[in-house]
Amino acid sequence: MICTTDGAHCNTPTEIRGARQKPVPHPRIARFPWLFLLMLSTQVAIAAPPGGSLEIVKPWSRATAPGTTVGVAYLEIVNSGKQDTLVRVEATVARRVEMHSMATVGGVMQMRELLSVDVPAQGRVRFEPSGLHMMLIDLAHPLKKGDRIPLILVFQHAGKVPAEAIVQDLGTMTPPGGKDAE
Amino acid sequence: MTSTPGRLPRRGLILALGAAVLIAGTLLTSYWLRPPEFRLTALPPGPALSDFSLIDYDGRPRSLADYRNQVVVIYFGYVHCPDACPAELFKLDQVMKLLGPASRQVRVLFITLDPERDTPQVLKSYVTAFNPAFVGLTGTTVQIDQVAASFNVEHAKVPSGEDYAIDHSSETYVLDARGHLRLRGSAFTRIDDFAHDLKVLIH
Repeated sequence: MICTTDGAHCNTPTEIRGARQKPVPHPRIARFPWLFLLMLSTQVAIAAPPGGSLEIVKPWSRATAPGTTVGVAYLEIVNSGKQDTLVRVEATVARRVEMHSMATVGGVMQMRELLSVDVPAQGRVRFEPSGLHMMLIDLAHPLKKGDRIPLILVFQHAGKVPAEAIVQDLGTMTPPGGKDAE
Repeated sequence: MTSTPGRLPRRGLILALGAAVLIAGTLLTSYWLRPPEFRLTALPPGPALSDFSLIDYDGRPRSLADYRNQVVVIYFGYVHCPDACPAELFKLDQVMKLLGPASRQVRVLFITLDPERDTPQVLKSYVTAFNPAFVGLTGTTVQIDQVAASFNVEHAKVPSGEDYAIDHSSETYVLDARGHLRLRGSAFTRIDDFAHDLKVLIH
């Protein structure tokens, strides 16, 4: 109960709040309109990230030694939605991009081309050294540290999702900023 | 007679000292003669490897005997290898840097398993990009098959897209200065472990 000092008018808090609420939808929005707008913009960004429910995390590549015409690209695909399939990768810097699996069987490294890579619902797929990788074939020029390589990942459902791989030093074994892609 | 009580303990002291010196000497000798402790996989002692006959990236004929009196590190790979080979060559360069001046007593040889595509010129620009002291070796298909077989290195050409890739053993081999195969490292061998073992073989 909130009453005036003379006790002539006594109103319940709800009544007072109701009276104040009329000109604006919510007192917090009225007090912090910039915060409201910021939250709203985040909501929009979350609702429609490029690639829908697929996020491409830390795409990177490695500088190439002179003499070779092949390079490599690594990244992580984080899927917050339904199952999808990566069917093709394109790069302007390479004539062709192949997806490869790598396994060591009895001490022998076996690299195999994959025609597609499954991205499970609510799951993730990691392309990384000594594992799945994208091989960039017939490079237009050697890759130098600091170069940015535009990639287009083509998914069965999500369609084309762009990414940009940052070229790391020759021999680098971990993505920029450490092993964890988080 | 007055000296007897003093002489007996002195003789005992000399005996005890002698025994102590003997024991300490034995321990020290066995410690000094202990087998070296390697961190890479030590291979059972065998006869010296059969020599190879290849050419280096300057077109000079090369055999294993050319590198006698040096510790030799051999990696089999190919230039069109996107993932494992550059990683291994980069690692070996890091090992050389860690060794410092002692690295002059080590020779790293990259033997191609893809002599068709890896010409001496291609090999030279590729291998020396990792370290100017690294040597790239190639040869005829038969010569490459022979040297790979002498190291038990398996390799097979497999079609990949429009092209081909090469499945191959991913190990790195270390030979001592007398040309005997001593150690085997892998992609997971750490740089400091590699440097440690090479130092043991140098001394």
